[in-house]
Amino acid sequence: MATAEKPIWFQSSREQLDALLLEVCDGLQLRPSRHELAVERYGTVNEILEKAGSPFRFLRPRIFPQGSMALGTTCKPVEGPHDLDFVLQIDAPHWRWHPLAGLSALYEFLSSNETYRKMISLKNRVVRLTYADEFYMDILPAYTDLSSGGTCILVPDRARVSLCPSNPEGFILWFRNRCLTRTRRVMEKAKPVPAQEAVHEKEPLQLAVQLLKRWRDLAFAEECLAPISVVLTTLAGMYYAGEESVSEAMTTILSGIVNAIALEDLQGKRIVVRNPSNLLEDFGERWDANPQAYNAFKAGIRRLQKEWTVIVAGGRETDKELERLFGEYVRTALVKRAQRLQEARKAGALAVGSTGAITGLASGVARIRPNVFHGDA
Amino acid sequence: MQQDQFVRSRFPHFRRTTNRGDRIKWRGTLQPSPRSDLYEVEIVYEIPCRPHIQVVTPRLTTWGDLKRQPHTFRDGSLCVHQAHEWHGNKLIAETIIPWTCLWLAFYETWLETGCWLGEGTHPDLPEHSPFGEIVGAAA
Repeated sequence: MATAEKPIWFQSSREQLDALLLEVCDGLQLRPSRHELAVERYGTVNEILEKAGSPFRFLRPRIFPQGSMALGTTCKPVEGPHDLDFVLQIDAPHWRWHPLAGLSALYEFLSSNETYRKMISLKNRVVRLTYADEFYMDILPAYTDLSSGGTCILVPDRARVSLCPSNPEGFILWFRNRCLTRTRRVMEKAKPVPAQEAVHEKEPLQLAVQLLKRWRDLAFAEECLAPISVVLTTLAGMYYAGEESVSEAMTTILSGIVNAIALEDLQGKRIVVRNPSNLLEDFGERWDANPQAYNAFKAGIRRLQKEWTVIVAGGRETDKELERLFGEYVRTALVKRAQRLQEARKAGALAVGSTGAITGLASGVARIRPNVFHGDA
Repeated sequence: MQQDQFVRSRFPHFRRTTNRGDRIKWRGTLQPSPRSDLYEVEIVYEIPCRPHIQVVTPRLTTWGDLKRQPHTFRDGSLCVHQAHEWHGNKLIAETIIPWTCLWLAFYETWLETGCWLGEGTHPDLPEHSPFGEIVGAAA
């Protein structure tokens, strides 16, 4: 995989901030080795579901990733394993069975497997396989939604004892298209288990979503109050305006979200976060049962927008703010940049410009000659 | 004076504040990167001494109980070279000022992370590792 050269000197504050954020996102995302392991595990589950003995084998089962792995927005949790989401879609007339039949069948079948028995648990909509110290694999059994068509599906909900509309593939396609910056708008089919992009290959919207998720993980101590990832991802996608710069993308996204909240506040309502590919699915519906969480989200995102404005306008002092928002990866990024500076210095590749800015030899007024910092012993 | 000509032509933000034959003083601003602070620096060159470099504003800060930053003298002035690396035939505009910019860049990282990554002498001094170990350094 090609690696991009990481810059050491910058023409503008925006460029420098973007480089720092890129390096933060590099620290946040799933390591390639972990990604490969996830693909391997998913492949094994897929084989088992298609084999003899599987209750799904005649129903044309199809497993595909959804969520951060498919969107390219993985974000290391503050603690615990990564959460990787898959859909098990079957072609079957859902009306012939109890709404929770698919979920029960999946749970029972995998529980009968020697390996999975020890790691399986049943959640509201998914069967979870816990690979200790690696990741959770959440498998969502779903029926093709024949009445809605396209890539729409119906997914079980144990709390409601019913099937609910969804469209993860449509969402992935929508998001991937929203990612494309103003200069490139190309229709692209969503692919199964996309290869993990290196961070320098990611689009600004993907990076912005990673940063928003990281902010969420640190800002909300109580998980029950934290906005769920699909809400953040959808809002980011809705308000992203094609900026080439991740810091500018964040500015526009935050402004869009805060303005939308203000408009709905005037009518005493919450923002509605519909799946753009299936308008029947409202990702914000959990807030109806948990208004405290919506209030916490509103307060948090407004605070983030104010802090972001200061960070974008400000200088060195705002690195501490960045670290407060995104954690230790900011510090690591600053150290790495200084290490690259030192390497370039040793290679004799540095100069200073007329304002004292450190730059390359081509644009400086004075080459930085070899020296050794000294001082009193 | 040749030193003055080169300083002010290469770094237009520097102005000469004193010129008394064998003693010259400049004040100017340096900003190592776009997001860096804008530092006002005073350089005093009095033959035959080494140039004396002081950061006027913003006030340099340190970690915790540390009284100094890495590579500074007791009076708080910067030490950007070893004695044998500079003499009067070398241009301040090509040595002292660029080295000061570099010192400021590494100082900023040190202030944010506790890591002095510009190397130099006396790495055992406490100001080099405010936490007693490198914090946040890449593996």
